[in-house]
Amino acid sequence: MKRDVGLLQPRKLSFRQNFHRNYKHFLIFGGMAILGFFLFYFYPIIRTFILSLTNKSLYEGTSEFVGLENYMYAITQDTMFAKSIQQSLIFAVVSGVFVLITSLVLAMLLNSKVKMLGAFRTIYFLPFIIPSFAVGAVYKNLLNPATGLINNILTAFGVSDPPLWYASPSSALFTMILISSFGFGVKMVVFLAALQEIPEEYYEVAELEGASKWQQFYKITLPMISPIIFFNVILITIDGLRSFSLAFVMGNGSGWPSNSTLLFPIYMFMTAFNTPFRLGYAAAMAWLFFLIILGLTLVQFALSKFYVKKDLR
Amino acid sequence: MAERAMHLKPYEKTKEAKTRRIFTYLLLVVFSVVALLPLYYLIITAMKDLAEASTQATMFPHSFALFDNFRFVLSHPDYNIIRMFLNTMLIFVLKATGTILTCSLAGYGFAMFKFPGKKIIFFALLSTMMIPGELLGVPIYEFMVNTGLKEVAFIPLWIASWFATDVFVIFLFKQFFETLPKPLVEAARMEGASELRIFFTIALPLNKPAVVTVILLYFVGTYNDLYGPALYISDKSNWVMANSITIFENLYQSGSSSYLVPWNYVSVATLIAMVPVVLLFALLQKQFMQSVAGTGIKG
Repeated sequence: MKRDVGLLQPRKLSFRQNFHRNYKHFLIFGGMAILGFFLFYFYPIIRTFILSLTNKSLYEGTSEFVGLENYMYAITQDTMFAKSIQQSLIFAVVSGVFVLITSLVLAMLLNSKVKMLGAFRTIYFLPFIIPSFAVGAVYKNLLNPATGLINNILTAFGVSDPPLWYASPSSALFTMILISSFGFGVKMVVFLAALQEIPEEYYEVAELEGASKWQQFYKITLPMISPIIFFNVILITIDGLRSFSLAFVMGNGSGWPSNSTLLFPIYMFMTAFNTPFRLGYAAAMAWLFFLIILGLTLVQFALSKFYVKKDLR
Repeated sequence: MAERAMHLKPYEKTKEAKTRRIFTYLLLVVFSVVALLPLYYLIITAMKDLAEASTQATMFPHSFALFDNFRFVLSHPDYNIIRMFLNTMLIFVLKATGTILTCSLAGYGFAMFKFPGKKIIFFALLSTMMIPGELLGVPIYEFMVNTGLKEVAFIPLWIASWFATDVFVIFLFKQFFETLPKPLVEAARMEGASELRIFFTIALPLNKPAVVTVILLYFVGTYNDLYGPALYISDKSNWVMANSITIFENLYQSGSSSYLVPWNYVSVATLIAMVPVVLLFALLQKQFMQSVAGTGIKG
């Protein structure tokens, strides 16, 4: 990290010299990033906090300081807030677990010297090329209770009462979890890259010593890729909690049917950016949401001590 | 490996291996079907005529109206596909250019020059990666509305990119510039080249892989973005690709989220929307997978 390029012979430079050789250039090159940090991160966070203590709405000139009232209301009275957080958590955890397992299993299968590896990898990756804003439409078509292929197949196999999928409040969230679970391709590519980096010799030695495939998985594969698993778990959880596009399309922007697909980002979008533009209350909810994400991430960091093995290579 | 194993226990090993092999391929094929089914149904639905597509769940189309469907979609007055595509591309170009320029500069600054408290500054920047957009969106929206910039030239959608706000990209560039051969830079400096000149003529051109990665990720990210347009675009002439499908989803729908969705038109619009991504994927499959594998991101 010692990259003081202006330094030809090692001697202490005065501030003035340092300024001309280093500080000046650092500010020229990095100044925009520091400015951007204050404009687009620091200011919004502070402003969100200030807003959260008021009852401001966008098209009303006046706003009052209400203290922690917004927070108290969200926690104790707003059932929609509780429901959206609960559904976001269910969505993130269930689809996260499903994607994690599926992508890991598929990556391991592909890594076991199968033929046509490239073809399979491309196929699994294909759903990725459907634009996010179209994914909802594509699966709504596929899972349509009356005109969808899936229910047609189910009926052909003698299911007399096929599910209503996204059209019924009792199965809509589950349907959304199922759809987002089909996005295993991206994570699988990440895992496959990690698996291919494990030295072949490890398995050869294990094989010679009579280790079973299960032992090889448990003692070699899992520890070797545990940092990637950790990375993926964090990414999947945060992605899941922040999931917006799919729920926006599936729920027609409002958590349809009967708020059953109302995830937190949708509820916040509705509160802040639809009439009556309750910026103050939305800001308070955003802070609560941030605390939840932060808490979960810290828990994951704590748990990672038990399964992430470092410095194995 | 296999030979040695067979040498140990010839019979059992081969039989066990064979069963495992069959099981492996079975699972791979099952998941291939899962991955391909939506695409298959998308394509055959695009072929059906309106009556079949909106009322029947046929696995093979009875009717063939692919060309009529294309004609209908392309001639719909709201479906100005060229305009929508160019709007999307304009946002993409402004975002990608801003990010590549300002983030590479910042990455170079952090990699090459000393500054008091540089590590703390970098850590502060990195910590913003943990902050969800929900916490930042409200004040920015408020600002855009108050200053009247909300629907001017898509400003809310790209302005932040010109302030090196994508810390991940700064990190990407910084990592690369730290491996830049030092004598190269020293030599240029001895000849009296300015730091900015060194950056633009030597450092940045050597960093094409990172630039390509950013371009690919930003293309997919901008193209797929629904949140930004839903928030900041209302005027029809400003519609982007994300709007192209909703036109047909809501074609026969009056307010309520009810029935008779013309899936054939929706599917055709989806297929058209897929073309740029498919082309990009076909041309740059390797870079595409590497970029995604390195980041695990889909817009």
